[in-house]
Amino acid sequence: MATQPPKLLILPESRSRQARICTLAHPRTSNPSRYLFDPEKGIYEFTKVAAPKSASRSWLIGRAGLSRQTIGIGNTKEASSTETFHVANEETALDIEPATDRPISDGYVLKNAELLIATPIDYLFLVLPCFASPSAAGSPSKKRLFLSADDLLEKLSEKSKHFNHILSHANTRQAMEERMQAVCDTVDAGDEKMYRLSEEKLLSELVLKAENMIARGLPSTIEEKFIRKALETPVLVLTREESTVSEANASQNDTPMSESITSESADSQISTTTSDSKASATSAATDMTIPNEPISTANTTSLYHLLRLRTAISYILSSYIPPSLSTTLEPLLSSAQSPIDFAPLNKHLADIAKLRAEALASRSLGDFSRKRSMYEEDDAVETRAEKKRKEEEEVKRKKAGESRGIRDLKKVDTKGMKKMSDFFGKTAAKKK
Amino acid sequence: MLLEARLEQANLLKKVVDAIKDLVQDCNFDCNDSGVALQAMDNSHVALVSMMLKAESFSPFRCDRNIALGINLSSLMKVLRCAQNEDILTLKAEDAPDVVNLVFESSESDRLSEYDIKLMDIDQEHLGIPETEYSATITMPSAEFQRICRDLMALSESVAIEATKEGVKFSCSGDIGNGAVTLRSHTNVDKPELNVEIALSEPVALTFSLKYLVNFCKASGLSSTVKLCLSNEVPLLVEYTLASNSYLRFYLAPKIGDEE
Repeated sequence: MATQPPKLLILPESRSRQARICTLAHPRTSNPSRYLFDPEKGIYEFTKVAAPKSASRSWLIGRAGLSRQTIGIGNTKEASSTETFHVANEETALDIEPATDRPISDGYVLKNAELLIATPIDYLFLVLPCFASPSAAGSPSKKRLFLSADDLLEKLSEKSKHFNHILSHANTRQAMEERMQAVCDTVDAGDEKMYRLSEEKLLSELVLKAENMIARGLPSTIEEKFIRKALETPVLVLTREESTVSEANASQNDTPMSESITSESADSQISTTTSDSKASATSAATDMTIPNEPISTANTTSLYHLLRLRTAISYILSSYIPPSLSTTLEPLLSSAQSPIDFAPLNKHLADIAKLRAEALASRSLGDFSRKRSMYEEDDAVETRAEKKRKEEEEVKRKKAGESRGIRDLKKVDTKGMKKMSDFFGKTAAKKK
Repeated sequence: MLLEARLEQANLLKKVVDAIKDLVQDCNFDCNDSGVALQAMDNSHVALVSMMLKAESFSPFRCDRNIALGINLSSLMKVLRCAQNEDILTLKAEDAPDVVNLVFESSESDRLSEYDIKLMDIDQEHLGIPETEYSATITMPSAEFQRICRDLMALSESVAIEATKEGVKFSCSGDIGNGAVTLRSHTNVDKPELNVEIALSEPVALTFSLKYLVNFCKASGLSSTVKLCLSNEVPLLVEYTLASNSYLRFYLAPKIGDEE
């Protein structure tokens, strides 16, 4: 543990003196993760921005004169407000000290070219795991007990040793309770407020967040992968061969980018995040590109909005909400009580999926370039195509089993001829 | 063994299946203690074939329980072609069978061949066919009926069958012209199989698809005579009578409507 390489952080300039890096359980995974806690400004999560592994990049950290400055090589992130800190291990994690204890006087090459940006995170997410105790999961909400804020927050401090430190700041605690009220049914018991999670409230809160998220537009990679590709309709057979190739490239480019949008602790989480949101993008086969897409009608626009919204919600669900809660929320979202009606979107996606399956089935199965594409929906389409192929074979086999006479009779014009069942009644019993 | 039916001549089953296989693809052979029955419709459901091979046609015949053997007729035909016409054929099936077993014994040598045909589940609707008093019943040589159908087929898709006291007239008209064949009651003492008998309670005129009739005529080898039964607005019955009260019957819906 003696030498852990330094990490490059971008911290909010306006942070207070009491700001500390602390280790808390990640709301989704419960793994210990680092957060920047500022009693005045709130709490920040770290988002990792990294170059793709294939691109060899590293940081050269040096000091030009008195002002400590970070110079990026390759990643020319000119960040004058960036300072380097050394976080040695958990024990010292709370003491954010300018890295004077380990002078980096003559420059330092940091092999790992990642940059950690502190971005504000809602207290809500940190508080939510206390409602997601395994016993509560699955049981109907009416059975859930009202609990005091003390009891609830107690649960959190059991998991994260630094949580008590956060709670010791009265205004932080108050902020947390306020956030809890937003998603809970409350009752007053004496001078104490009791809380019980309300899924409906939580969901509408999440919808609000998702609306915010898409208001400024989704990151272009998400937009490309889950929105545009999901909603495009397949076109001419001729264009497909090329598009598959270009799409395989596109998906390769996607990978590092989606890494960059996940939080610091979320290395292990990347796969879940992407796969979950993929699931939300349902049936998208995503391997046919449409050259000029018609986003003209108001209908299409609203479909785009719906899909963006759902992608955003599912991103939040899969990244920040404890699994036991997200599993109860997902069905709620698609149910009738959902604040948003996704029915038109589902219908549209089903239509597209059908079109794609048809288009795909018409394509040769020996097209290996398709295997390279990383979308799991492909598998679904493939199995569907396989099924279709089997059906066709079945029909073919049946055709082979029918005699020439039967084929000839099919050509006979039976107009004006009644069916046998019009003359003879159906009997369940066997004729003698 | 649940079913064991021995036919003195494989030829019979061969001809029956050959006649049906161009009308239906798969069908159930319903076996019970009275014999082996088959009822099936063609794809368009305008024609129906009904076969009954009575227990007496076999020697011996044993069927302990009612059983339906779903068979693809093309497959059955393939196997039956492996039998010589004079071979002794034995049909065998076990309880809840996967296959039906066919054994061909050569009547002349000690050759014994054995085949299994995979069975299939066929969901078939069964129609109850009432005994009908037909307005006209015509008995004629099966070869004659076959010839008429084939000849008229050259001119048209359909034939009008008109039965009156004078006789029965098969007529058709097509693009190249028209044609008609009329048969009168005729008794040939030397060769009774060439007799033409017309039993009539009232005149009948109906039109039928020739393609189907030609198809039915494939059964001509089974019997020297064929019986046509007609009544207005009911299906035509074409019956080939087999030995021991067994029969092969075809029903065909008449053409009703604007044309002709």
